[in-house]
Amino acid sequence: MITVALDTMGSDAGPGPLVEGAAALSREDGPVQILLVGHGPTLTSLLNTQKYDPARLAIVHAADVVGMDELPNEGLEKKPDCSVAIAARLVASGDAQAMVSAGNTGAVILAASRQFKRLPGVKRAALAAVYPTEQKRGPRQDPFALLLDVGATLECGPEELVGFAVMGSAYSQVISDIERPRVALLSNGAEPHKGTPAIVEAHHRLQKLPGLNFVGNVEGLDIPRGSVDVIVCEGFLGNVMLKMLEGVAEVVAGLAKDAYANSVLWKLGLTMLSQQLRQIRTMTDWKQYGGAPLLGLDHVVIKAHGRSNARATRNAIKVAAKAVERGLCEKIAQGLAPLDGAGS
Amino acid sequence: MTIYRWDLDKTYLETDFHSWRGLYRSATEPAHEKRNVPGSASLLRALASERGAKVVIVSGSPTQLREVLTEKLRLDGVRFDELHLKDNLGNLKRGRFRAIKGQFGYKLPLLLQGRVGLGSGNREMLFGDDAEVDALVYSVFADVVAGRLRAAELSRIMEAAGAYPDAISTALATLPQIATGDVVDRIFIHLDRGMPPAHFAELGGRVVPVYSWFQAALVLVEAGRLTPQSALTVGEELLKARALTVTALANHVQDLLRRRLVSPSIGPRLEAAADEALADLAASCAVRAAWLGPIEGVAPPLRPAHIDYLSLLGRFGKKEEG
Repeated sequence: MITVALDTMGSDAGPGPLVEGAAALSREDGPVQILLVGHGPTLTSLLNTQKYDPARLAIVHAADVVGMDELPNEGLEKKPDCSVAIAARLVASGDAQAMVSAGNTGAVILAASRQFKRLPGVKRAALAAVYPTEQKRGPRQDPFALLLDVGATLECGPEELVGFAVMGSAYSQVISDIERPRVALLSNGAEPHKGTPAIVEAHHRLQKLPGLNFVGNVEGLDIPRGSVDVIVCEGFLGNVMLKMLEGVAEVVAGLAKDAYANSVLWKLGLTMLSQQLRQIRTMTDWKQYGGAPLLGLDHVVIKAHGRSNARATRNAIKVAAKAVERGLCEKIAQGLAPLDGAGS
Repeated sequence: MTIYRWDLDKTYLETDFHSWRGLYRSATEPAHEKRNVPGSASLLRALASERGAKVVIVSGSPTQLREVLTEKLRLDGVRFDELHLKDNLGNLKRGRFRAIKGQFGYKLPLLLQGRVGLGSGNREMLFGDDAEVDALVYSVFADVVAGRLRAAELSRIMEAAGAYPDAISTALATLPQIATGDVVDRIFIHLDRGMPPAHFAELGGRVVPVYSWFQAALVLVEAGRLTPQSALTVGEELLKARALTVTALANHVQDLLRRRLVSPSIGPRLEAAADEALADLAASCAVRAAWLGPIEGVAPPLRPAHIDYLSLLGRFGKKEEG
């Protein structure tokens, strides 16, 4: 049985959709037990309205919550018994094996970083996001790839970028079942000398790294195409890219909606294409991807989207359990072993 | 005396009557192949062994199964005083198709007849499931005996539930012979379909939805009707049947604490009664009780001031006989 601590507080929609997702998952087959961390009485009343399996759920009361608009460090200092800190402590103490949170991203990273150890060879943790792509990959023909870092480490040197490449490759192997994931650096040109000094140096080191399927640099337009399985960049750039991808998807959907409402011709065309559009919508729906893993620590952490609904929550917990079951952290540690102490 | 009235299918026995294969199997399988809802046999044995306990089984299974069901109960070591089964063949012959599936027209007259000649000192505990309308039938029975529902209201409810006129007449004819009293202490509903507990909230705290018979046993410990050892025996049956793990049982205890069906003292009481084999359970319960933190609010009243049975009929499965 794999126990996942779910921080139910601090998301945009409150604990309701998270409790709903956890309750639904508790009724499915699978070796997952969920610890719902949050305000006990609130969670109890929410749970009572759901179908759930009490054998696989327990509540862990947390008196406080770090809000989305709070400074992470300040929030955690002022509220030592906030839900995200308690979830992290449950994992650190061994009561749970993974944590999932849809709350304040900074607080999740900070709480996890304080409670968990960095894996040997990891300079900085990375937040990795799954994003939809044109090309499909892996045995299940998944239409998405991995982008990291998307905000855990805003500025990176070559050491961090090399570490991210190894961690992203391991995640792709473990979760997407891709045997030799193609890994690339995001730059402003395919040539090895293109990019910032950190990217050029990282490129140089990655080329020499054994066991990694490093394919060189890719440009921005390669992100939605999905020409590689893992794209590595510094957190500032990754976060901007990720938000832009989400923004473009929302704008396109909004434009299509307006056109549908205002033009008979568009209405006709969109109706005819409705099945294909539904497929695209399903493919680009972040709710099915589960969340962003925080990589580089000795425990599994999944940062779910702040707007997570029940389905996204359920998928985030499932991804967390799968990562534990398949030994994600051990796999990353193995990949990082050549870097540990190599001064890279 | 306490009378324990039990349903069989999905309450005592694991029965699948939602598929033809399941129906066929339950009609033809021998007693030793019939499977219990985990914990049901231990709980019923423990209740039946009480001094002055009477066990009455009221099942919708056909009368043709009497022999095999009697044998099954014998194999389980369950002592019972009465076993009522439904004359489905008779219903079929007379074209009373609604009565084959219906519960109100069958169980309610039987339950009421079972109170004839009994004083209010004879308490009742009822056991059913959420697959049908047990919670409603039992609650109506409790309120009729308590005098809260008059004959006219009972008639309207039974009619709305699709009961045949003769079944309604039988129930009404029984009323003058029943001593009025609030005799039903608890109605345990095994959540076979996993209905949310809030689904039963309007019926008051008298109706206790439980996910396992271990939970029911703990509520009975809290009420002073069972010993902690008996509850642990029920828990052991669940462990042996691999229905639940120690952690899962402890989660069931926390679920009861959350729903204020037991007090935090249940943990230490179990711990004191647990032998070495169940020491882990007691420890897990203690951890989960500590995790839960404050439990706000008060337990709901056993019986709300008003229950709108006619509207609840719609929610609990409409005119189940219609």
